[in-house]
Amino acid sequence: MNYMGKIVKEREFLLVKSRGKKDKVRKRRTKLKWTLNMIQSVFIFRRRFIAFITTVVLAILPIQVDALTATHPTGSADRLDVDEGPNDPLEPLNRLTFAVNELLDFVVIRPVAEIYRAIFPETIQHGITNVLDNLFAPVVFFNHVLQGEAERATVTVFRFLTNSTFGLFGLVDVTTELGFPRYDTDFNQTLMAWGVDTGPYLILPLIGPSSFRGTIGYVADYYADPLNIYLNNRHHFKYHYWLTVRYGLYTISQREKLIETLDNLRNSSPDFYVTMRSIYFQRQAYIAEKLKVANNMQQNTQPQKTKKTG
Amino acid sequence: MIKRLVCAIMAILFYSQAAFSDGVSPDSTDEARQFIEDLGRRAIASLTKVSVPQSQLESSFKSLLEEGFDVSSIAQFVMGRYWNRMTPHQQNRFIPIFENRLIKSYANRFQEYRGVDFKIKDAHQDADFVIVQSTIQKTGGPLTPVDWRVKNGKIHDIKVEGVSMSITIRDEYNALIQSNSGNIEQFLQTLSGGAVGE
Repeated sequence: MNYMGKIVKEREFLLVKSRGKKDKVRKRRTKLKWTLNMIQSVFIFRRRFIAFITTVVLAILPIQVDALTATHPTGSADRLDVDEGPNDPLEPLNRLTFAVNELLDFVVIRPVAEIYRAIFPETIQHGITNVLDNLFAPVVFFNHVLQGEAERATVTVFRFLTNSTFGLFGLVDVTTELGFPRYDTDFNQTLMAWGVDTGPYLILPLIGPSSFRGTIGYVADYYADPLNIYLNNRHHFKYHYWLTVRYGLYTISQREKLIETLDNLRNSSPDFYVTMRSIYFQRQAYIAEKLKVANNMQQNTQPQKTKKTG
Repeated sequence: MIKRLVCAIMAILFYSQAAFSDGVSPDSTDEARQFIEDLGRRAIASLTKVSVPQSQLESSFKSLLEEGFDVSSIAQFVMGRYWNRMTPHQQNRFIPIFENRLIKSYANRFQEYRGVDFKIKDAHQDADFVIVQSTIQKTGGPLTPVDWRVKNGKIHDIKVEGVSMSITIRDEYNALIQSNSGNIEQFLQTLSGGAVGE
């Protein structure tokens, strides 16, 4: 909207200027310039429009695909006792994207993660993770609210306020020390809580294993993030640069934590693509189960039997 | 606002207190917890030693595997519906191949767990199984929940953060059999050929 406003102001300014000189040619030129600007701005806004349409289509598709493949469950259920095929109708495309991602990981991401590990001592790494996690707090809060998790939403606000001030912009996670650990969540989990199934498996470029539901989650979280909105509305390179820094650093810090785990998995797997797919669906089922338990705890209907020792 | 916050905090404290207050476990769950605690500690102690030759690591992993795990049941599980399509001869061949692969792929993994904090938590009955919950924490790292599925004093499955070892292997093998167009013989050859882990 800011951009549109700027264009309109620019037009008024130029028109006033040209009226003063009473130069018809200049006036026409000004109009032309304004029209061109309008077209350009439509393209800028169209990108968001396309993103919106994609989101809607992706939201509808899984429901339809599920209806079509009722005998072919998504694999998001606990599949201990039954053999079912995975929900992966796009396997050829996914395998291609997966291969490209693997190559990128091998050439760029993993080496950079290694360098990151080598350069920064562990305390600084923790600090970086804390700052990045703290920046995600608003989105986490929105999602807790959408999931109806009142306590978790409150804790998230408390954590954000305390860590941003006493914790030096999130550098030190003081609230965890106080006994309020981070409850991570995202829009994927919100959709999960609303009963939306994963939909088909989808490997995203750079991001990796996801699903139709997961993709909607990423898009929604990205556009709902106040910091992203702020940075995206500033039409200057240096603001966009900070977006790159944010997500780049996040990717690298997350990848650093998984160096050994992924290496081990890759080495022991007969088909790494299948391994990652299996893990993805199991994790989704696990998170759904945990969400359900959290909800039940909140309604105080299911007493949790826990005995702590050692 | 502050009042509400305090209320919420109190509520959370109350729930977390309630979570630890009840639960008298039957003998079988206590036994299972004891068994996992003992085995887990021994595994961490013997498999995370520094500069131990690979062969020694593998042999100590093998003895722990045979002592603590029901390898033949796991082997049957990971084959899924293909188990009944195998001849008894193929089944007998598969078990040692499978065990060998487990050793090759997991013996080294414990290096990751050097100096971790291993804690046994709750145990509960789930049909014929006892699920023993535990957590593993690397110094300064996140708490990782690990669930052990135990039956008759043997482990049938391990779930790390919701990811089951048996289900993952079963999915891998199912895909591998399918890529061998359902040919079990070919699958066994691929598996024993050691395409992976070496």
